[in-house]
Amino acid sequence: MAATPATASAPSRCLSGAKPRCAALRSPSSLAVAAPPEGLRPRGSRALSVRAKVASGVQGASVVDDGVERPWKLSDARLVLEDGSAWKAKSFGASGTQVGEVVFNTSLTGYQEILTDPSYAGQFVLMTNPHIGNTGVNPDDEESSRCFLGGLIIRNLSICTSNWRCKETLEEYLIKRNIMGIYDVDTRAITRRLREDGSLIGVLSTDQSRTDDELLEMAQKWKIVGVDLISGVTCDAPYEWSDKTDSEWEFKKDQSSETFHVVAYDFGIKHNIMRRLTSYGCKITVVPANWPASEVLKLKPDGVLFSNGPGDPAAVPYAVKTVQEIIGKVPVFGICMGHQLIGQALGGKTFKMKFGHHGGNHPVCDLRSGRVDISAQNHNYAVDPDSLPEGAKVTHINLNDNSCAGLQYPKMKLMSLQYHPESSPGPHDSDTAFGEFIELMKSNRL
Amino acid sequence: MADPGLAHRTYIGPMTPPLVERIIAAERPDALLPTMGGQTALNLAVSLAESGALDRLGVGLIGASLSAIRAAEDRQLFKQAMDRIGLKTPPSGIRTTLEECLAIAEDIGEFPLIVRPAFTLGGTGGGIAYNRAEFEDICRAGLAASHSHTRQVLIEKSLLGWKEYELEVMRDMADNVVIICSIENIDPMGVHTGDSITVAPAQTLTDKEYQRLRDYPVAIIREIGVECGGSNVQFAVNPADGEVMVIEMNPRVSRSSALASKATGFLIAKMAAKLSIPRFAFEKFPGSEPILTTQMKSVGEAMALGRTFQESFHKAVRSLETGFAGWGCGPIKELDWDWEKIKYSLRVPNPDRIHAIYAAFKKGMGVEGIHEISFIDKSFLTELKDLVDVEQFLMSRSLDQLSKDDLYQVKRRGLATSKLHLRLLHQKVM
Repeated sequence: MAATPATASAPSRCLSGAKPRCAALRSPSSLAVAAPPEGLRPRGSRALSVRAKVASGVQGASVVDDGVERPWKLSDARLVLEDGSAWKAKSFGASGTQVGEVVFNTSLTGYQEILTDPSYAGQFVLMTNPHIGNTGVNPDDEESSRCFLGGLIIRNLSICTSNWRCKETLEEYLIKRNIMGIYDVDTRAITRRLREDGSLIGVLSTDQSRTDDELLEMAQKWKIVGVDLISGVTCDAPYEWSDKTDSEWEFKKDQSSETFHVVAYDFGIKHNIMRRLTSYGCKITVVPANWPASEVLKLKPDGVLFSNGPGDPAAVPYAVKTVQEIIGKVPVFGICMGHQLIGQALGGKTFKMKFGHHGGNHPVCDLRSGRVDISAQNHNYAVDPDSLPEGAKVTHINLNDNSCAGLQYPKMKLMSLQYHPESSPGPHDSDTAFGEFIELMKSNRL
Repeated sequence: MADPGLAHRTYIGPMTPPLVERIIAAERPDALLPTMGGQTALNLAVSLAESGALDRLGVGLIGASLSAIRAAEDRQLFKQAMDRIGLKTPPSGIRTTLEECLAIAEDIGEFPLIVRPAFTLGGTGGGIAYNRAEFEDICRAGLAASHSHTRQVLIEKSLLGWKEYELEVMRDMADNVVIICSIENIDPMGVHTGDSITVAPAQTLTDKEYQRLRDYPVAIIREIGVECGGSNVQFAVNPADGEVMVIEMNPRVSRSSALASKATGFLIAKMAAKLSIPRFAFEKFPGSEPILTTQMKSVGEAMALGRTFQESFHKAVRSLETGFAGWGCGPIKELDWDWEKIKYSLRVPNPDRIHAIYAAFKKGMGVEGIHEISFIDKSFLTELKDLVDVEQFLMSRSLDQLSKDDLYQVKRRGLATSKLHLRLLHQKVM
């Protein structure tokens, strides 16, 4: 199956509205309640210039609705965070009410890749780059067949697009995919809060009938730790992948002569991981997250890849078990979630980071060579290197906080990276990791 | 740069090779760092190296070697280096007869073509040819105009209207390479990058395009051989299909570096100096805070940081100290001009083009119309048009009709309080 972008009618998955919310109800919180309702207006048309309806008698209304046409849209949405803060915003994309975990991403480019990265399931992505939507959306930059994230939070929605590949605007795209987006929010203030307090659960709503208190309660009752988000994003059945990186974008000059058969576990795999592997000469069989290890080993693959994916690695013991059954038998490469699962399978521990790493400019040091790569990262959990068994070696560290960014266990023919060598979005610096995996498989053939 | 903290001794004098040689003879430094003093320093370093002065005095060149400086500065050597790493440069060639000229036009494959006769002052006899007939005429004139001993013309593919980008790149002795900043020029190709209004980070590239562009300076700085320090690489990108060409590379800290340094918080000059010692304490990037800036060379330069393009633009215009409290807020002589004059000012890049854009909007020209004349990207023009619309809204309201949210929206777009005052005073409501 090739990378087929979802059609307009494809239903979006609103994981945040489904089981995670019901998974565990905290006792009613005693946290301070939010400010009184802001008195928001009913949702108007989606045009940027909106003729708002006259409303009166709403207490605390700061948005005047006097029937005058303004060159901007009036606020019609809210973001309520679990710490009790409420943020007025303007909606674009879908309307409704959504709950999710707010994470900030510092990438300057690549919002479309981020929107379609399954690792963001259950999360609201807040972009620190204030201008989003400038280049619109095109069919080539999809990283999966859908948008899995809960919503997009941005400072400024570009009022026009400029790019030769642009096929539709970000707003049109989100509406089709039924994904909520808000703009005109103080993203810097929220980012500072997230950096200080750690990731926060939030509720996005365009529903005027709900009070801030109701939304706050919803945020406080929702839980993402310990929730299996992978089952919601993995494929239904195995399939073959054979698309290389398009020649327009290929940056590796030499082409490999040997072919390797790789089985890729889809925990929410990004297409670019498969494109890069194919460019390196791999033939890929993608299998669902719960595919039995014995079936995979029957295929006698040259190597197995454990992909990136959303959520808490501790919430998917079945995947850890699968990894345990495979490592040591064939060369293995883990990326992001795959890296964390390998850490767990080796007997190590994973923990939730304060606000995680989400961005396209994280310096990573390869401790073996001293080389520094600028990398793309997207994870909220990390492997505790002290909990790893002897023989497993930390090969990479993130220079921002010295956390473990890569592992190697030569005896087990195993390598893994916490970040994204496939980039998309992000720099190509670490693409050589795929070459390393090829070498690992090659040496195993001898 | 020459503060006592950095320099043991500071000399003030003309930057000529003999004087610098005398200073070097007196001070006997171990090494010369030519990448920190702009083009002048590079030129001085080259002449000191070529005259043998550096060898005589036992001074090494660090940061960029003589061959690296030559490879970057010499058009032909640079073109060859780019060929070796598979990057495109604008197709060009030097020819001496009309037949040869036509052959190279055939090779390049499309018009317009720029024809520059060799050794003439001010480009006499040259021009831009939009079709074959024009091309033949200009080539004939050019060949006739060029000096009789060196009868030749340079033919180059015209990148008129292409988007221009700059990337600031740094390399250390351990071969770690980082891109500090991407800069997009608002004025398309055809305006010298130093005269162009620029914005950082680049605004109209998707991730795939940006990462491709990011790979190039990394390859270039390695190929040219700037061992450590900063460089600035300029690219042209075809807005129709994304084709990329390398325009040039400056193996030194430049004015753009200063801009990039301020915009990103990355201390380029400090690191370039530090980078020259063979150890790199890798500076951590702070969670990058994207900041938009506007730079104008017509009066030196002004740079503004803001959360949005519009805010930065207004602030930068205000910072020019030319009597404008913001874009469109001040004496706009262009408003009294006729269409011919305005269109000319839109077409031919000049320091006041932004005012001509304002006047054109005010007189009813649309984004499309201005784009067709100026080639300025529509996204920037649309942002500017929005500012005019906001101003129009303000004009239609009195102060007591403005809500708190209205004021917030206006201020968020960077309008100065004095500009608000001006508008409101204008209506005699205050």
